[in-house]
Amino acid sequence: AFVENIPEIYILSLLFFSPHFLYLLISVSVLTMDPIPGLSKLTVSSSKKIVLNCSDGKSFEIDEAVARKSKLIADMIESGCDGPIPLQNVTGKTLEKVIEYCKRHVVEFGPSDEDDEEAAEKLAIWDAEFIKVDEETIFHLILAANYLNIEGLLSLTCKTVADYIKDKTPEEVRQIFGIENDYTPEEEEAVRKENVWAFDPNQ
Amino acid sequence: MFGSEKSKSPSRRWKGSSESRLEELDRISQLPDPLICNILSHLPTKDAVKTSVCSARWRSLWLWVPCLELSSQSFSDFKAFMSFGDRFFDSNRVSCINKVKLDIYEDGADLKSWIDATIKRKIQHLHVRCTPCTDYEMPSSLYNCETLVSLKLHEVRVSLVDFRFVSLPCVKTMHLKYIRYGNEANLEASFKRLVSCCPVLEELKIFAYEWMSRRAQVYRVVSRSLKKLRIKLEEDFETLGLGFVIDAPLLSCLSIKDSLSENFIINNMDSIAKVDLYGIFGLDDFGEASVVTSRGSRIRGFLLGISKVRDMTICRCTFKLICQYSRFQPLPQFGYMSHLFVTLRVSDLKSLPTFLESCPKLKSLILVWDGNSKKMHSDGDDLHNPIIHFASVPECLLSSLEFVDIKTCISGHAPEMKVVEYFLKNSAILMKITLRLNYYDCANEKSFFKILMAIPRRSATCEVVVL
Repeated sequence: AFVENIPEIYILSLLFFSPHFLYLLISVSVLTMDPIPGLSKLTVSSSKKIVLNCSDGKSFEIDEAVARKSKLIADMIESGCDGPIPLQNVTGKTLEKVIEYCKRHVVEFGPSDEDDEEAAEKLAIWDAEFIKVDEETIFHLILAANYLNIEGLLSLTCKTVADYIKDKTPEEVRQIFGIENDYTPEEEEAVRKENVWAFDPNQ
Repeated sequence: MFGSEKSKSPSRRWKGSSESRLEELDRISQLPDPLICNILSHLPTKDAVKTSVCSARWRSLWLWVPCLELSSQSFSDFKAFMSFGDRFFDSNRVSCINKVKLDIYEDGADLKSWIDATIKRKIQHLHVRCTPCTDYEMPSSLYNCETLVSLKLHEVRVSLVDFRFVSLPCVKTMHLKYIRYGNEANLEASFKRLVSCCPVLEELKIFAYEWMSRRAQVYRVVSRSLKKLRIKLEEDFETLGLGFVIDAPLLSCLSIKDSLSENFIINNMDSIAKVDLYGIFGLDDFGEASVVTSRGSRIRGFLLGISKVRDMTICRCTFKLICQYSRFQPLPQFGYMSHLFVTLRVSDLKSLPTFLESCPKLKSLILVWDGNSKKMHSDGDDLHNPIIHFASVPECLLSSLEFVDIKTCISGHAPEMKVVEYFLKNSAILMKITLRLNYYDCANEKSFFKILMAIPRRSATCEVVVL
């Protein structure tokens, strides 16, 4: 039995004293020393969670990758913000919707999906359903997307509102949004004259 | 709700908002100016300008929208268009502009100063479209624009030769359609310069009339970053010498409508993954005699060059030509091709198996046949020499074909069903075949489905979808 064990001990001792093992020891310690502060934080790990605190006290914990859809939050993470992130300008209800958007959009787009027409189509259909909300919510979403700097969501929400203005007369636009006309009739006439081409129904 | 059909009734409201005037909030006007401008930027300029009448707050908001899409035809007279443009592109304005699209149908506008203004205001997407009757020249400032990402020019004059410094560091997309390059002598130099001074160019489209130059000109496309290239040459008559030399090591997507003249040279085609051949080769017929001509060897060279593509789209003329060619010379194996979109004439359907023989790994096939389906079984048809007859079963049907999509609407006639039958009976691992039924023309829907279901399927998991 003793004879059989010798080769193992021999190999073990060889390993222990070999330069390779020492090299391994040194490199492992260098890696864990984290010489560049924040370097470990820049690597996107799907398991890292970020906590967001809303103006009305609600709290959300989400994956870092999802949180990074917001350029504002991404910048905060990069400049070392570790704890919960306070978002004074966003309520819980709105943030919930925003997070829903970010979750869907972070999963789908990787470098390989750029040319994937089918995936893009599916995403567009999801977006169309997602944005079927009431007036109040959509304006809250616009403000939130602007504050959090989420380009895709801002574009989606603004385009949705724009679709309500498209091809309408100004009277209809006023009606839809509840805009009060504070022009005098003379003023209004002058404004129309400024750009008569736009009001020509024939063009 | 949102996105539903637009109603002309002025009392339409969003769901959820109250009817009472007092409780209504003008939420949109509560947004800060930049956000309203963002909303307006998604509208055609005309609609954005109309909002100026909504209320005093909205009077000038449209002017700050960083996008402009304008056609001179929207204006009752050209002078109104000119003064509008002058106002929008006033040189004293400094706000950023993102996108500008102009369609100009008459001469006389001060286009040079307008574009100068956009460049000062950090434009990113510029699209100028003129007509053959106008003669607008691009300003020199255009060729040094640091912010431009996408440049699309149509029927304008470009003259670069006089300028020492040309640099477009951010341009990723460039469309040059029917451009006049200074004078003829400058075409080659101007074009080459324009393309090679875009270090991150990814997409390039070149449309030209072959008759635009009376002597031999060569378009040299030299780009280390180019990924997509589309060339379309309108051929009025055979011209000598107009050619292309393409040196783009990263090119992955090529679309050509050109007669592949003598001077069509593509250096290194290995990277090309997707190719769209529309009307190339230029010949109407390829007979035995043509094989030994230089044209024949050019075709062979080209086909060999694209033999590594993964995705091919081919029109009926090219298909016919390749089939004729294949009678005299073997086709190269397109061993990597997994996706094929082929449009062909009904009379060429029988050559399909031959072509498919050279696509051993084909996974997905989209098929369109041109021509009256009634022609499929017209006078020329008889039992001994039917028009639709597939002589062989190529390898790909047996081992790799998974998706077949027949885009031509069928009516259930027997010859059409023969095509469907061919795929169903022979494709061993077919997963889905998609058909489109012309419900108006179909004589008897029930019997169509009966026949369809009765066709024996070689693949057990095959799904048949009828749209």
